[in-house]
Amino acid sequence: MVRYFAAGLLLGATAVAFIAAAVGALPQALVPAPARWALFGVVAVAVLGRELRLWRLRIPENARLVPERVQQLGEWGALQFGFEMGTGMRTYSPSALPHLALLAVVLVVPFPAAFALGAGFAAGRLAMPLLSNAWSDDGGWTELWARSDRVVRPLLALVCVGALTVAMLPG
Amino acid sequence: MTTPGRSQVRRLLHPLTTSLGLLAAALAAGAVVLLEPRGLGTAAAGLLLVTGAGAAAGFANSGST
Repeated sequence: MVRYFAAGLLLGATAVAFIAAAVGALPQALVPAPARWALFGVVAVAVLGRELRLWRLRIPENARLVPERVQQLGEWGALQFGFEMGTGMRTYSPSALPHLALLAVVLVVPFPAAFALGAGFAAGRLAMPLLSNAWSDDGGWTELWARSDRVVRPLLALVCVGALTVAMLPG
Repeated sequence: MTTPGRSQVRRLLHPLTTSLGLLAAALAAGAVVLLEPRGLGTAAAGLLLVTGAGAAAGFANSGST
C-alpha cells in the first residue's frame, strides 16, 4: 500500500513540476535573470520571515481535511490519494515552502532540475507518514511535531531557501 | 518503559533529526558547488541541492497532517 501511495506522490509532484516548468519556460526565456532573481528574492524573504514567525502571511491553500477513511483505501485509492497529496493541493498547507518551491520552478530553476525538485518534494511528503507510523500507533507524532515546530519549521525554511539559492548561483 | 535501543531509534525518527539530516546534506552539497565551480560532481551536487530544497518543502508541508 505504501508503495502505491509513494508512486502517487511522485507522479503528483512531478506532474506539478512539469506544468510549472512549462509555464516558467516563457518568463525564463523572456525576462532578464536579474529581474527574475529579484522577484524570487523578495518572495523568499517574505516566506522566510513567515516561517521564522516574524510576520503573518496568508497563503493559498485547499481548506479540506483528509478524511479518516483514507486508512482503508485499496491500492488504486492509495495511488490516487498519493497523487493528490503529491500535488501539494489536496489539503491545508501549514508551510509556505511548497509555494516558494513552485515559484522557484517558474522563475529560476532550469527545466530538468524541476523534476529533481518534484521528486524531493514527494520524498519529503512521504517521510511524514513513514516516520509517524514508525514512531507510535497512538498519534504521538502529532504532539511531537507540535513540540518541535518552533525549531523545525525555521530550519526547513533555511534549508529550502539556502539550497535553492546556492544551487542556482551562476557557475 | 522505553528500552535504550528503542529510545535511540526513536531519536532518529524525530522531526528535528530529519531536518538536521537535510541540513547536513545541503551543507555538504553546497560546499561542493561553491568550492568546485565546474565538473560533473558539481552538477550532481547542484541537483542534490534542488532535491533537498524540494524535500524540505515536502516535509514542512506535511507537518502533522
